[in-house]
Amino acid sequence: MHGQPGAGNLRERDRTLPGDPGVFFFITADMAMFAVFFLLFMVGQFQDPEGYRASRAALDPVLGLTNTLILVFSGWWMVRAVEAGREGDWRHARTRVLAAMLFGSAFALTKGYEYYAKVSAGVTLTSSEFFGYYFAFTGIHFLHFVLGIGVLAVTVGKLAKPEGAKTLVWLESAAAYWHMVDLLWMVLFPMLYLAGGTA
Amino acid sequence: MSGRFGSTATLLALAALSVGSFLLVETEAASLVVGLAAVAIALVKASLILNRFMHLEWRHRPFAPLLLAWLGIVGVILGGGLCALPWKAPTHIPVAVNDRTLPFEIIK
Amino acid sequence: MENPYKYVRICAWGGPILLIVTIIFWGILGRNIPPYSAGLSAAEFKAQFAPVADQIRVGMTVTIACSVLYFVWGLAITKVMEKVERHNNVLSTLQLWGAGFTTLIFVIPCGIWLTATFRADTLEPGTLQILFDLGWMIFDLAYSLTTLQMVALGVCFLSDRRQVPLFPAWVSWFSIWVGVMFVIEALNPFFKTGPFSRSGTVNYWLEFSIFFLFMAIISVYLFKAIDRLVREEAP
Repeated sequence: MHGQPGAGNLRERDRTLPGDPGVFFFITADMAMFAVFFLLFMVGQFQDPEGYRASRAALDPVLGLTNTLILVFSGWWMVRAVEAGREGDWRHARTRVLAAMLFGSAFALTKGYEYYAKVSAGVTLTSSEFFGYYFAFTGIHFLHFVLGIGVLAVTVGKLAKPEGAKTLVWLESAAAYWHMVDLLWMVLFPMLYLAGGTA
Repeated sequence: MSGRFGSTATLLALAALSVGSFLLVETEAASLVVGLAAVAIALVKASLILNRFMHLEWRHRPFAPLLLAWLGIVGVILGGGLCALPWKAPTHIPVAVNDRTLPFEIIK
Repeated sequence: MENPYKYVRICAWGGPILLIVTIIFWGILGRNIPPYSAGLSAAEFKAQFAPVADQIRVGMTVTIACSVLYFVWGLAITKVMEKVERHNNVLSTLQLWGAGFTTLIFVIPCGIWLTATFRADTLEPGTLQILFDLGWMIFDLAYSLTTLQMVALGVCFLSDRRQVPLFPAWVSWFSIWVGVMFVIEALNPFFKTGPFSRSGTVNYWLEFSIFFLFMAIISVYLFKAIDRLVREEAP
């Protein structure tokens, strides 16, 4: 099934990209937005290093690390789902996307617990500039995560009735989006939790 | 392209790098070097995800060059932002020479 | 001779015209580039707002009258979307309603800001400020009505089965992306200063830039699509 250029309504020149070019456009635009967020944070940190360090000390990097490992592990299931899809092995592709969803969902638990712990300790997005950014950035990232879980759920549905190259492009695109959620966290984690020091 | 071992090796590398940067920050006193190391590790992880997980290669224009540029820009933003911060001198560096206290900011 | 696109092109002009009106009358005359910061005290706000109230009144009076053009523009988009839809007209209908509701998101806040200018010299500073805040809360926080339009539009044109789709895929994805990005406006009520406040880098400069860019880009491809449909369906 795989590697058939021009199958269905696919445009041939796009086949080399691992996914739909429109999805990659979306990913690029989204990542550009996050680059602006990183800049805002670093400028704020430059203006008030001690304030940021004091706030950072209240974060639990173990939770941040846990979420990093969860997303990486979930992303790996997605890679293996794409590998199966490229072989035309839709059954394995489907179970692996399900695994990616299942393990990825743990991110929501950890993040939910982290938000709960912060809010019940009286730390909210108006507590300090640092926490304003922390809640805003991780919140927007979480929204991307929730959208991603939705996309994976649709992907599971599509893999139950595969339509060849069309389904492969969908699978690859969903995977690319899911990896972006992963990738953005790879930068958010050190920026918020690790680098810059604590006080 | 990367087979099953390729993606599994990538997973292990990503996990090891994540734990590594966490341990580095937890065990070392906060310093610019540690901060920059954490950022560098993050960029390596991000490029592994782009190349080994998303299977993006240079020939995938314009997205591969754009996302590579994104990595560079983010590296400059985070690295530059950390360099601009005031850092306390690590304890093993002499803090006073000839009774004059050195300005910690320039030690980095 | 029958012309199925009679009036459609005229309707499509509603978008570009409203965009220009918004920049001049809402933005420049209405003193909304950028808006007064939510971080100002009531007294500071009144001291800045009251002396230019007449100018803002003119700006809002024109903007409120032209707001309907957003709905008119939305109808032109829907007419093109109907040519792509295969199963039913759900997406084009959602897009039209989204555009129609977005019209109200111009009308209602502009009416509230207009009210603030009406007795700006005699109103208490706190009252004046709360009217201004109220306008902005509705203007920014009702983003989901516009997100509805943007996502429906994007999803519809992505399902176009033509060899060369009426709207390029990146335009559809851009539309969806702007719609998703609008969710950041939800942070508005939590910040009086900083990038996520109503006059901040992200929630004002970035969000309004991509919204205006959305109107401009969609308008350009809307005209192209109408031209193409007219050519294709010519007898």
